[in-house]
Amino acid sequence: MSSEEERCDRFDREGILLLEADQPLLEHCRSCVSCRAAHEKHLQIVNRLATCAEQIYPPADWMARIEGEIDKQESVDVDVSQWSGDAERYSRVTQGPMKRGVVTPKVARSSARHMLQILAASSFPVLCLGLLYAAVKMNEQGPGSIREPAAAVSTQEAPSAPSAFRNPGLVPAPSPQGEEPSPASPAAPEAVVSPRNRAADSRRNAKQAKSPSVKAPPSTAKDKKGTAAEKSTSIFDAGLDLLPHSSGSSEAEGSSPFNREAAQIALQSSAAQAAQCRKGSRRSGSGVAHVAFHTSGRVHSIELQMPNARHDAKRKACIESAFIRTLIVPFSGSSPTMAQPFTY
Amino acid sequence: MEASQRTLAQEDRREGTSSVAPHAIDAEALGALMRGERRSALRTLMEGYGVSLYRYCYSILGSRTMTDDVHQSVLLQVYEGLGSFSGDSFRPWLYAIAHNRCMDALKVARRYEKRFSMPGQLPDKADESPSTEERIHAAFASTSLTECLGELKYHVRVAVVLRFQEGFSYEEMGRICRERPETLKMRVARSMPVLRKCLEGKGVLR
Repeated sequence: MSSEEERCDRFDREGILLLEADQPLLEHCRSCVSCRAAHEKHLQIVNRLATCAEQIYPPADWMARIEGEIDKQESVDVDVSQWSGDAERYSRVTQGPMKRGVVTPKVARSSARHMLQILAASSFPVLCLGLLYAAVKMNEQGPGSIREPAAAVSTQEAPSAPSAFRNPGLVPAPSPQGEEPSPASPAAPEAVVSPRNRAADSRRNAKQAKSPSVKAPPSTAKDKKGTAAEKSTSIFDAGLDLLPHSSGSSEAEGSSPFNREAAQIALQSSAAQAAQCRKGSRRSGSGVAHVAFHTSGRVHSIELQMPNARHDAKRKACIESAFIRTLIVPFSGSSPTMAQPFTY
Repeated sequence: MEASQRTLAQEDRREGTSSVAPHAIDAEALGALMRGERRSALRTLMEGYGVSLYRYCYSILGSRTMTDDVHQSVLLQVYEGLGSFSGDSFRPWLYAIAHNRCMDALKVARRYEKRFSMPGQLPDKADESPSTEERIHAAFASTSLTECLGELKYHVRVAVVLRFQEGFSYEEMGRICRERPETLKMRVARSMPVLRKCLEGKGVLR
């Protein structure tokens, strides 16, 4: 064998491809010693490849193991399906193709889905019971606190409808004075504040229920902040007149004549509250509020004279809301207009 | 009579020396599927092709532990897919599933090795060396051949095993591997000289 023939790789380059294509081998490969040797070795390798794995066997119980795995998988699926009572899914799992691959994630997925279904199904009646309980409690407590002023007012209800307010942005609150009608004596500020404090509790409840049925009390200047007053205004704007008893309370009329001194004291309290409207601003000023009272004791109209704050609408609204809450004892006769100076 | 013939054929298949032609196995499995007996069809396929599938997986993976897992997952997937099987020959379909599962297993193993193997540390896996009985029966050449096969790239190894160990045509191999038959043919042709040189280096071929 020459060295040239030894180095010949034609069989590797062409002969194998021809063999794989079921074509006759080249004449060169038959005559070349190197190619012939390569061909023989190729055939040996092919034969050994065909038989090399013959001694390899799977474990003895491999079929039982696989069938057991299928049984386990199906039992899990069937259990889960029967648990939720989904017959359609049961038939799909047992008859149709299952999802490929791993068993555990599928079981975990279905378990999680069914757990969610169970949770949703069980939480619904609990939620209903809770809502029912809350409704019963609201009926027992909530309406009482709301009804309280209405019941008190209902004894003094006047048939006439309330007149339209001159200032439509400020809707008056129901009068807590109606709860304790003491028309014979002039309303001292303390006497007026006391029922207001009680009404404040009701107001808190009403705030939560977004039905501001109780009037926000104009307490002392230290108690109330300007921002709180603004909030109260917005609450009153929210539709106090929609409540059935609010209109009735505004129509209550007292038997005693108008007490100017008591009204002055109540306005001074409101002026102190209006002073809080300065908070957060460097600018200060003074003004005069012209307040007209309704016979029910509530403010009928307000006119503010604030020469230094013509364009400060926010502060003006704050001061208005402080004065609109002024309450006096219901009176009879004409309703005079009172002027109250204030600073802010 | 028919039942006894069937039983004999099944026993024959269990021993791994199936004398039943693949088309007969396919026909039996298809008949079971037509009757809605999916479990029976799987049993037929396991008896007919289970051992050869195992050997194929072992040739590709080269590890008993991995082969056991992959073989089981292949047959479980076969059972799942039987309901939607629409062909007429099960063998390429089964090997395609096995091919994909082997590829997945090798990827996982490679990732595991990449992430957890520490240099200078012993590998954390079971003893994969053949048992005494296997040592007695296994020829040295076979072992060397397996080693040389293991040195080939995965796609090349698959092509060689499918072609020479399982005896698939290049068209069937193309369906299994989802590649063109010409590509596979070239791959096989290029790999054989490499395999030969490897075996010559180990002293198997002289």
